[in-house]
Amino acid sequence: MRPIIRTLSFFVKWLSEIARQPALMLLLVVGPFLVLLAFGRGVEIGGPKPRTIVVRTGEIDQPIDPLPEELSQFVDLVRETDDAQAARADLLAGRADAVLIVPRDPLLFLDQGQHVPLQVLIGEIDPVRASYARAFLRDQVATLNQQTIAKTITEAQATIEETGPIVEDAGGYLDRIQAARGDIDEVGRELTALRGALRPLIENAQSASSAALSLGSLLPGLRNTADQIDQLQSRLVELDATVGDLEAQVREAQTGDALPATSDIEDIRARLLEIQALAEDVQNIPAEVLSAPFELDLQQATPANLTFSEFYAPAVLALLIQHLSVSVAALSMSRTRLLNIVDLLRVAPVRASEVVVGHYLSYGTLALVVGFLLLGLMIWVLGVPVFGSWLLVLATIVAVTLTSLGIGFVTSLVTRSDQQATQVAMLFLLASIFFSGFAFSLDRITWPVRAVSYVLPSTYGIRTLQDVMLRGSHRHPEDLIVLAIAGAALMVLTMLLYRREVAPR
Amino acid sequence: MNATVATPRPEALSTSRPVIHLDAVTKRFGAFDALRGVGLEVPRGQVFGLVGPSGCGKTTLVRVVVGLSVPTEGSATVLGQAPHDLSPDDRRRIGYAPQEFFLDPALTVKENCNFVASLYGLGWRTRRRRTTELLETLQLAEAHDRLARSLSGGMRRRLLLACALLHEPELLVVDEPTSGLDPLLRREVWDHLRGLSDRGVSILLTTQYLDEADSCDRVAVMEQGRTIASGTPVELRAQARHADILVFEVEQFPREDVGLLWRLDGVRNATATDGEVRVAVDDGAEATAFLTRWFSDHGATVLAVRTQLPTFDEVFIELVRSAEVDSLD
Repeated sequence: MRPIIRTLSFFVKWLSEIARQPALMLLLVVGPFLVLLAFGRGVEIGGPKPRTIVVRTGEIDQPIDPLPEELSQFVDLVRETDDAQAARADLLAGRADAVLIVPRDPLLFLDQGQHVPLQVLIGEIDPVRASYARAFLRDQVATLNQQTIAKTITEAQATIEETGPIVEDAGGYLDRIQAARGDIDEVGRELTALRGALRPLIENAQSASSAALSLGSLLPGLRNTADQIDQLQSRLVELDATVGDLEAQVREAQTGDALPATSDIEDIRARLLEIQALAEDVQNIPAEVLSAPFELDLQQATPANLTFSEFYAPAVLALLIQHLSVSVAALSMSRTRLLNIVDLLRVAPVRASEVVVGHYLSYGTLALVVGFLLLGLMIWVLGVPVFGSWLLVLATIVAVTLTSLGIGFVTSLVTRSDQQATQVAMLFLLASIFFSGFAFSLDRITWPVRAVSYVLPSTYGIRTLQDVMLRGSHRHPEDLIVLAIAGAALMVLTMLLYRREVAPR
Repeated sequence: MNATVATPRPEALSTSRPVIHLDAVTKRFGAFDALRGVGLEVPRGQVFGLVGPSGCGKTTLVRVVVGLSVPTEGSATVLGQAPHDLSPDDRRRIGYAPQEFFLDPALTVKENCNFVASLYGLGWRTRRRRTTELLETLQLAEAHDRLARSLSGGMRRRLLLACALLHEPELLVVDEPTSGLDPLLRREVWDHLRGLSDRGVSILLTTQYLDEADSCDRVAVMEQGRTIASGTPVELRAQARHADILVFEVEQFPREDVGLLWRLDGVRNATATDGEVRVAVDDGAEATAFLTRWFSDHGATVLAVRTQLPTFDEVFIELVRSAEVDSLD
């Protein structure tokens, strides 16, 4: 009975102290919750559109077309200028987030089978934001490329969309030529009219072929379509030549000649149908498909799409429990030493195991009460889901608490002052923010630095809580085992160090 | 000052094994010897006082006795065992109130008592009863819900004493129990200590108030880390080979002339107050007539002469002088 009374004495003492300062509990629970709430509500996932100055190289007698029109979807256009120096100065002064340097006539590059160079200057010193900016810009340039290509293809398709009516008209001309055979003058007029009808089609096909071949040389995926347009244009030119030959024959023929031959008329009719089929093939595939053959269909295999605050909630919980446990435990012995209470513990008939277990009980209760209250607020106020086992969530919180308390107690027993203990606790927090998977995922932390991650209880806590709560799975069951072993080892070490601390000198 | 302390029992000697036995204990901190070959025995059921000036090693000796400190040389036995190696059960037999406050200032008086009692394994009912009794006895009952940090120095000392007594120890070790207390409280604390001793509790205490030594059953005088004398107050007075104290009630004797007495052979000390001159002499019988004549020769009228026991301050000074002479020899 006496060992239990002695062990509980620390808990009762702690309870007396804590009951006198309810504001502390409020601060410990509500503080982190409000931070998380503000984080979830106040931080944008994508960030705002970058404020961008467009610098046009070359002569500026005409607006840049078509790029700025599309660009405004992705950037907040500050102004257009040809003064690259001034734009750079504005960037460095923080009046813009990016400077985009574009050539005067982008299509000229396409016509020459070259990429349109888009030079972007960014003024970001934060490597994370700079990395994000690079990825964002790459994504936006890809979208811009796709839209530019789609626009070009649409224009090319538009030029040949009159092929059907013209081919239909041409059929009428051929009927009339067939009917007028023997009347050389009439046949000659109809053939001239037929060539006239085909002329705009040939010109449009030439224009479309030119644009398509430029894109096709840049984008292999478009080569087939470009070939089709080129083939269409060739067929039209050949047809025009054939009709021209017939026209010349008729002009030289004498009245009564049964020209052109019926086989020639049928040949032209067949080639017209072939041209129409080719045109339909080109138009059949939408420009958006041709410009971006693959469409991303990204689906979440996990139970839910998460918001920022939902994703970070388990990590904040693990980090808070670790920091609270390490801090209070790290200061425990220095306070005991400072107040000379250590002498009372030395002379009293209390065993090291009773003191250590009593302290674990006291500070552990504090951390667990705070942890469970915060977990409740996260779930019932912020709506953070728990898809996995509640038991695992609770076990993880307990394991992180015990291990962190062990680190704190060992710290308190090896440091000699409040300041040292506080510094160690702060270092642990700092290391946890960077290396525990809180700010960066573990796979982005390379060895041997990752070894630091595996020293931190929060690393295991964050991974397990995020898995169990947000994925509904427990992908690293070894984490709890590691925490349990580390917690037990630290408790034994705490007892040994405590015995050394209270040993007579 | 004598009026503030209690009177010791005429005979409290015990024949049983001493509760504390120190044999040539030396405690060294680096090059500094805090204790130098101290030997003493505290008999069971007695009040044993360690007296001496600040820094003479009293607290170090107390820390050795309660097991907070291990002797560098020599041996210490408390309740039959080395104090730094006592089992929890043996520790329960000792109560300790240090000179420095070692309770939690963030707890109330009652909470501190509760905490200490729990450390000693007392059950809830016993804790409650003992706390109530001791807070009443030591006049802290009204302050039971005050935070320890808000207590006066005297209240803190009494709280320490209360906490040391909660588990009813058979050996009480108290470092400076009356330091900072007013005379009335000192008397009450001493009455309480004597009461404990009457109930068979052995007490080792330290004090800077030399007059309090008269209230102890046995006293050890400490100076510069060693015990220069040990025994009952009566034995120490004898040991001090003290001077006889003659108190002359005189008229027309200027106080500033008291220095003239120092020059006389056989006079060890002389002090003057209004109408009284106190002279310490080697031989009182011989000096009375001589000094009466001396006062007359200096125009003073001697109204009465009486002899007095030396104060413990005077005994202490004498013992220190003797020790210095011995060490020179």
